[in-house]
Amino acid sequence: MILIVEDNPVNAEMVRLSLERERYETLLAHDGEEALALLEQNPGVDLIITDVMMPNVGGLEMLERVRQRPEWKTLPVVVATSQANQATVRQAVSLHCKHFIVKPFTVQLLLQTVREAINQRGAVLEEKTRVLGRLGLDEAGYDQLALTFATFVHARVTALRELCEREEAPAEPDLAMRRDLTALEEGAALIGAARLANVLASLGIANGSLPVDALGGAYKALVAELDLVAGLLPAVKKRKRLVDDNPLDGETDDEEAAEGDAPTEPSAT
Amino acid sequence: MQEALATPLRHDDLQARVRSTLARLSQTGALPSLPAAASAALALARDPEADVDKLCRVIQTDVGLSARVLRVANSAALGRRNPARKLQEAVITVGLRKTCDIMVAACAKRLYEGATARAEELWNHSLAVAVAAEELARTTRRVEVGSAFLPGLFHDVGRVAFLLADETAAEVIEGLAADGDGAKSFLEREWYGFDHAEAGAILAEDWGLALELCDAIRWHHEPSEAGAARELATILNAADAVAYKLGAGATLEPPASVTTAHLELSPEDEASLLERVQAAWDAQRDLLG
Repeated sequence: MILIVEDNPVNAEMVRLSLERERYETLLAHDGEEALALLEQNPGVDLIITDVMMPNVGGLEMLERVRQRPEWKTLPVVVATSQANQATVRQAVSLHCKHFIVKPFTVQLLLQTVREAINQRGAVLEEKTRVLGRLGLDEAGYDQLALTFATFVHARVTALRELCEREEAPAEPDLAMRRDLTALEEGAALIGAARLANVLASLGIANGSLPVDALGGAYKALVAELDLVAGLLPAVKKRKRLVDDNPLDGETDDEEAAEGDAPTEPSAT
Repeated sequence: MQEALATPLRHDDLQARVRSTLARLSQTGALPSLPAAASAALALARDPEADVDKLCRVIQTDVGLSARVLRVANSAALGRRNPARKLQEAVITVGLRKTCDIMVAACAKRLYEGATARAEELWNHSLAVAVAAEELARTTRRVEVGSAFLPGLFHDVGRVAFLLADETAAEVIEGLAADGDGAKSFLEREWYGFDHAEAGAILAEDWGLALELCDAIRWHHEPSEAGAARELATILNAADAVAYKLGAGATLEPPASVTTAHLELSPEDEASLLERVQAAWDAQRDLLG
């Protein structure tokens, strides 16, 4: 899902239509304040495309406030401006924004920049063949690892979802949860869930620096990432069952193989 | 928000901005250009020492152009007793200036061909406005007859430049205008920082059209702002309205800014004008294919 932050109706419609034609789901905010509220309500936002000059809260001020939140620290942002002067660029770069486009722009440039920005977050799940090479595993070893990780992810999704649904603001994670999240971070890095690993790393769980007031959003963002990974892992599980049922038939048909090889580009829809 | 609109740009800065924006948006990194024969014809149209031989040398570089000039010379409207067989005879019959107009129109049509269905609609509109402007110049005697066809032909070339640069943006602007979110020129300024009339004027200037004709293009939606080109801008504005009346508008509904009212034509004169323009437009379309 892509959040468009733009007060000019022509520019907003240009971006919305171009993205929706490519099957991206979009949200529209007319200024930075509305954008921050929409981000709170929609943890599945994969990318922000923002104007700079807007009433109330401008693009750069919004970006500054976005980066103060641990769960949005790695959220990719594209700054779309009609005049990319040095001061604007410098300030945006200091806020970890690497993508600029100058208005007016073509649809092709917009889509290319969006793809680059989304890919910046890393793969939801690295291709299996690459993980095999990286870890020196055979297929059975990978399937075993994936199954263990999938079970762990499913358990954490359930626990975190329960926390998010509590009426009171979630407390700082207890020791057991902290240990689980650290293990999850290690597992994600191992199996090539780079996006999930990045989100976990940005929360600073391992060094205990997670700010208490950010936990609610942090949990929601984690759940969104875990859902994405979990959505790809059942295919691995299914494959494991097939291999177990017929140990001599190590290779399955093309469709099965395709299911096992996760896409490198996350879906923003 | 278009920060740059907060303070008006100087004319030179605006020109530079139009050129750089259109070049940046185009796939080739270059501004839309006319075929060489059209540029040569435009230069000859401005050259007081241009003669039939010079013009024929240019026409001969293009078989299609040669055939068109011969066809016009031998059309019933020009009433030759014996058909012209040589290009020189044809050019003398048609006249130097009108031959230049035909050459430019034939070449300009290529800009619109094969782009999109919308571009072809704009071509029909542009040709109708060119013919109507010439007819209005003849009827009202407000401007020299020979000065009206080319600015009429190029009055909306800025729209084509937008369309060639990015069809989606042009479509969004048309959609918003149709939904009542603002006049097209306003919406264009919001997205590009300038409107199609400004873009058209600058392209026409780059292609060699006389500056006064370019000013008329620039102000064809606001003739009162055109200074020395006010009369010609008024003719273009009215010709735009005539094209809509003939069913050859650039959009479904005519913009509020185009009207024949400034010319104070009687209903009979206007009806007769429409008939003449329709006939001339049909003939031009037939000629240009």
